[in-house]
Amino acid sequence: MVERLNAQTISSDALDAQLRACVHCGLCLNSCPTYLLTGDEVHGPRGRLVLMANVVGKDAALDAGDFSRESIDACLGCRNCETVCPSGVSYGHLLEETRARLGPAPGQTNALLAWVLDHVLAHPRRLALAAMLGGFTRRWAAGLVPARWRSMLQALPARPATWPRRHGLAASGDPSHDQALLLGCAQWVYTPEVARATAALVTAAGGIPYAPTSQGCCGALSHHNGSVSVARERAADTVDAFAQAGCVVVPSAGCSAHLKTAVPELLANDPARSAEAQRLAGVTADVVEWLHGRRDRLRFRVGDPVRVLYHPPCHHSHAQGIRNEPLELLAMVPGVTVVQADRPELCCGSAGSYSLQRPREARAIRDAKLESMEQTRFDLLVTANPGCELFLHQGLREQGVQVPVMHLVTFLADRLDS
Amino acid sequence: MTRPSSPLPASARRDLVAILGEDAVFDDAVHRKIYDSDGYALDGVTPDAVVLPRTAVQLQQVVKWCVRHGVPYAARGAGTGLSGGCLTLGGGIQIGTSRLRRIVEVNEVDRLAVVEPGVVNLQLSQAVAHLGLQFAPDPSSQAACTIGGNFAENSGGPHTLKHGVTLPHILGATVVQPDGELAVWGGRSQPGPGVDLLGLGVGSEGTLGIAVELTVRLVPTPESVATFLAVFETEADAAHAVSGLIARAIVPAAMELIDRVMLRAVEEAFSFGFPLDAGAVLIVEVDGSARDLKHERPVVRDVLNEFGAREVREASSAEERTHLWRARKHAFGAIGRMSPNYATQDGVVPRGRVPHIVASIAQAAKRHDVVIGTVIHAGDGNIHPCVLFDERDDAQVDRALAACKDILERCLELDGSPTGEHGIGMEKREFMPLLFGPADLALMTDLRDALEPTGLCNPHKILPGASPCGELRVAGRQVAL
Repeated sequence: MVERLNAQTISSDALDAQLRACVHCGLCLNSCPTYLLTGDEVHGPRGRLVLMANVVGKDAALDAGDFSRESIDACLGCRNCETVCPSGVSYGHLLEETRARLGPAPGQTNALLAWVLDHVLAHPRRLALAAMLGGFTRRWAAGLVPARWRSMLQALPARPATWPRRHGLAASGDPSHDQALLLGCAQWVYTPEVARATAALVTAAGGIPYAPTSQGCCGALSHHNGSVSVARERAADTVDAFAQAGCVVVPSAGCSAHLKTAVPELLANDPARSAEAQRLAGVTADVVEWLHGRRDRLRFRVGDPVRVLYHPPCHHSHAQGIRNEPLELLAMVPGVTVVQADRPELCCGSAGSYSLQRPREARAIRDAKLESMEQTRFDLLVTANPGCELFLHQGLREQGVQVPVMHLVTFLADRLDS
Repeated sequence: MTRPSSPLPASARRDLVAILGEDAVFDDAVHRKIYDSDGYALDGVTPDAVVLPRTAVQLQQVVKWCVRHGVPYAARGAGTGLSGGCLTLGGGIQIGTSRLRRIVEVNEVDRLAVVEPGVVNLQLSQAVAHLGLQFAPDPSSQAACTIGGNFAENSGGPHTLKHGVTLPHILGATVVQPDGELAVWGGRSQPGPGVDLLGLGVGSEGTLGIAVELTVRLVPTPESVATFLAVFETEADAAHAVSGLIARAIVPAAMELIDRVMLRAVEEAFSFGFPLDAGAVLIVEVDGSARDLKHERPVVRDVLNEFGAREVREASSAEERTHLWRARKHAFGAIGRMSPNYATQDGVVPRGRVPHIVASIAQAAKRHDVVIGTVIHAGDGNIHPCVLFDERDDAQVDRALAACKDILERCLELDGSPTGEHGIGMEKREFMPLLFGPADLALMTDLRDALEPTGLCNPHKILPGASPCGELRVAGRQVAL
């Protein structure tokens, strides 16, 4: 508990002011996937802010005994509401502070998940082993798993896990010039081609990629889950692993968002690291953003005409304001027609560990997303975050749709003109 | 007649669950708190329960149950209203239409759509955009508000200057009457013979029944649009330019005045590039055929210049236009960045008197030492002054309320009205006797009692009289509006 109280990185005066910025206009409602799913304002941003006042505000709206965390737990954290909010309510920040104070959601499934996030994810080899074991169990021994955990097993990615390899990347580089890559956790294990593609594109754009060996998970998932102490350890390890790096390129939207904003906040009271965390945030770029800045150096070959449906990750659109860059990069590739689903800004339901924690809601939200794509003809689904990629891939396979799903860098690297 | 709000007795809960299912009946403290207000956040009224029907039949059964058990109820769309119209004054059940969001039919030839009441305004326009059609009423909350709510409140919007408010865009409605029976008002074409029940129903603020299906008119999106931003040194100059434009026999599609305080808030939120040293800006949009615009474009520029605009810019692309309107339509929310609380008013004056009311607003701000940011649907003379205050400071609250009262009374003096499009709701009932004589009010009351004999369908709204107040957020004070 002491640890949780220490988690408050900004004063409650500031949090209270952020809560009061909400003028109750309701313009956020139609932007919220859980409100669209339930039609229930308790599951909309305006309602959740009322509940948050009980946790991080000065004036509680409800008697303590009446408070319920259910709707806070059910929030995806997609932050689409923040994009549409005219009053500038820092919803995502308030949510993370609220979750930090509430701690991980109760229940055995959540406890298991929190344990996995906190103890397995940070170590790519452990994660690979666990993922392989999980995949094996799902295929051959699902009946042996307690019923309450089976849905989580079903929610594992449909793709087989692989052993994390370094793809020939150097362990160190020239900090004044080279680009340090953060390879991610789940991404490294489930979609190893993303690391390869990122390296190829960075090279093609005139950079020199390397991958610091001591890197692990950045802690974003633990942080979203309210495990602040673990998130702080991961943040510290990540800052140490990338110390001296002059430029960090991150091929996962969730991780780049985390490095830019949450890591400096988590380490604000760590005298040994706060300055370095700030510096690192300043030199971190999402791979899409970095490539877009150097797009005049990229040349793509002429390939077969292809209709690419692009799904923008919330960690791009709503957390970092990266919106047009991916579309502009795709449009540079000869033969590509870029299309988007109806309401592309809505979350796909993956949302960090949400699809494992709340598989029923996540699948319903994904169904709505897939339905919005049905109107559009496309040959390829492209996105830029491992969570979206794996979750949408699984959804399409379950519907019997064989359209390839890949990361933007995977597609772009394949079309590089060598 | 008044009853305290409390969670449902077990038998009532059982009945409602039998109609709606377990996941559609909510009387827990969290739901009752969160559904206790809408976009008008000054007041709160705790409902006994919230129900969320999935079908029109379920909704009708809920109303019938309410009638049978003498329980008051009110319909709620997205809760974006600005006069507390959906709140259950004196307790009762809020019936949410958020799960009734199907677009049932789009008919290109008859240029109409049939929708459920929970369909979001903008969502309909987007769904028919590929046919070159749109639903014309565009309230500032159109990205979230529902067509059922637009129907109940007869909502306006910036573009209703040329295209008209909601009323002419509703062709028909299937309504659950206060007695629980279904009625069909209007149809699929122009109004026919008989009493115009539809005309009576649109804008009745949910007091004469709940629409469960609406047939709405779709209009062609204009062939060409030109949007101007004119910058003025003073608000008075901008206000005079409005009359100047109308006098030239041009009906702009929209004409919006934004004052200096609002400009600052909007600029902070949207970085549009508004000049912060300007006294006011005027957004003028004209639409029509390419030929119409060829004629109107220079006239608009000339008039704006003639009335002292120091700069007239024209939006150069559709994106720039969208961005400009987004900035304007989110002005109310943007004001949240400047002040913890605000009271939005909705007065109307004849448009020739916009300069008078603009001066009066400035005087009220000065007299009561409050900051007021104003946007005006200038072509309609519909003013929206936002009086800023901090509810934690009692003296500020008093001064803010006094300023609001001054402004609305001035609207009446200028032959206007205290509301243009937000509705009377629970907010402005006490103004009705100032606006109407005793005979008018008696007729309205008789009419309502004839169509709504139960006293349960969104009671105590619009018409003044002995009625319960909301639980005021601003402690110990009756909002004198």
